Amino acid sequence: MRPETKRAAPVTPSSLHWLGVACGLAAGAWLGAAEAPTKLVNLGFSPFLISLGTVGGVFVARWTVPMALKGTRYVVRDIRESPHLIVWAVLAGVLWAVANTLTVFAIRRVGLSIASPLWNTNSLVGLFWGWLLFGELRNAGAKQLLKVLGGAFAIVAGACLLAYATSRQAGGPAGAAAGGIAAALGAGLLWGTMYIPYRKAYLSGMNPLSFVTVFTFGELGTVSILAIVFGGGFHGVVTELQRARPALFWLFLGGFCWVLGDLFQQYAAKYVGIGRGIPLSNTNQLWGLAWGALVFGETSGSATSVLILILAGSLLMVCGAGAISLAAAPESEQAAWKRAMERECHRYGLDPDRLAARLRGEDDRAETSSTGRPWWELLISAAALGLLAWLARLARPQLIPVNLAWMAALTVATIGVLFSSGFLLWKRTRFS
Amino acid sequence: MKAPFKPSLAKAIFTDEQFWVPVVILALGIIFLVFVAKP
Repeated sequence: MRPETKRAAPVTPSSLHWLGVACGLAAGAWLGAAEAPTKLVNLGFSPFLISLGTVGGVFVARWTVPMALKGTRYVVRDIRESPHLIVWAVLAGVLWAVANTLTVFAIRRVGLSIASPLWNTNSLVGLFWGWLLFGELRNAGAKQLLKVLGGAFAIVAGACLLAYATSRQAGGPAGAAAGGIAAALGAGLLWGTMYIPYRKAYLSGMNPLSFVTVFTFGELGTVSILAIVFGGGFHGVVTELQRARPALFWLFLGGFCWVLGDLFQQYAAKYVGIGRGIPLSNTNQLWGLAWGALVFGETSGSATSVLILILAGSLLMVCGAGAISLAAAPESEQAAWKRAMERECHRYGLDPDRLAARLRGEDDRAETSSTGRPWWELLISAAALGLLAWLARLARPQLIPVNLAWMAALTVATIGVLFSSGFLLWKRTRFS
Repeated sequence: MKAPFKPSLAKAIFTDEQFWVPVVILALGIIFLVFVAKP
């Protein structure tokens, strides 16, 4: 007999599709918002230190958010049910960190305007792996295939236009261009490949909250090693961390926002697959542009041609996201998804009925999170809040002019997206 | 009730061909990073 599953609202394939779409779009909003606090950090720190500071915030958030939503007992039980996924989650974290470091070298050599569109191809790489390994878009029909492929390419093209129009950075030395382009493409390949573990975990019934709890070890460990290797050794990193104390709060805050976006991206990968979910979450560039242009005035005084490019890029991204949103997987494609899930069941001895229920958002582990919270969760929460309060005390106001009205409007809009998509996720799946 | 299954890590690593896709790409990425990072 299988444990009784719990859910709040009945779901259909269509409602799960729209749930995944909502999560993908919310991911875009929060991944874009994550750029705002880091803009408050004055330049002068090494990119490895900025990356380490942000990932520090990411690590704290990845441990506290899943604990707050589901509890440690739930997460531990989930991980123990599929221990083979620990390797996959750590691997995904390492892939993220190496890709992130490659982008640093790419920006140094060819500038953001060339590098950013190149690594944005990660959604196309993810789409390819989703098709090849997990049956995504198989038997989807020409119409749906066109919507997804057209939408994904439109989002990448829109990102290219936005990056080209908004970047003010000059390129690096001409001789370094080939290496920079290759580094940016390499980052796109690694990030696109990182979505293989995502999809693998969700086809195996793991909760995204549990997956990110393990993922972060690979992420923080690799970023720390790379910061030490490229940032002047252990003592060099410690010295620079001390120098960066007044800015660490903003980096942590950026990391926290990034985790919320990443969690929505994980749920999107679970409910609509990586072929649809990742391009939708790549609309973060649109939100990043909104924060940069409206709050920080980054495009003020720009030529009309630049503004036209921004408008065209934004419209392309919106049209691409719209096309993917309307491309729900038909029954024939869902049968291919089911075959991919059955492969995991056969290989790892998992229960196909239980996994199918989990992919519908049902949760047979729900009773674990409703049996009271242990004392150490209070301790972890207190430690996380204490760390944030300490960093906030050290933080210094950054002398960057901001438009407070637009900042308030975008903050309200982003929080609105968090609550509406979060509520939908809770109502239909209880964050399963 | 179906007995909980404990898949082995070794099985995941050595027999799942899907595992080697990200591993190979990660290895190439690390080699490339070392190459790119050279001054």
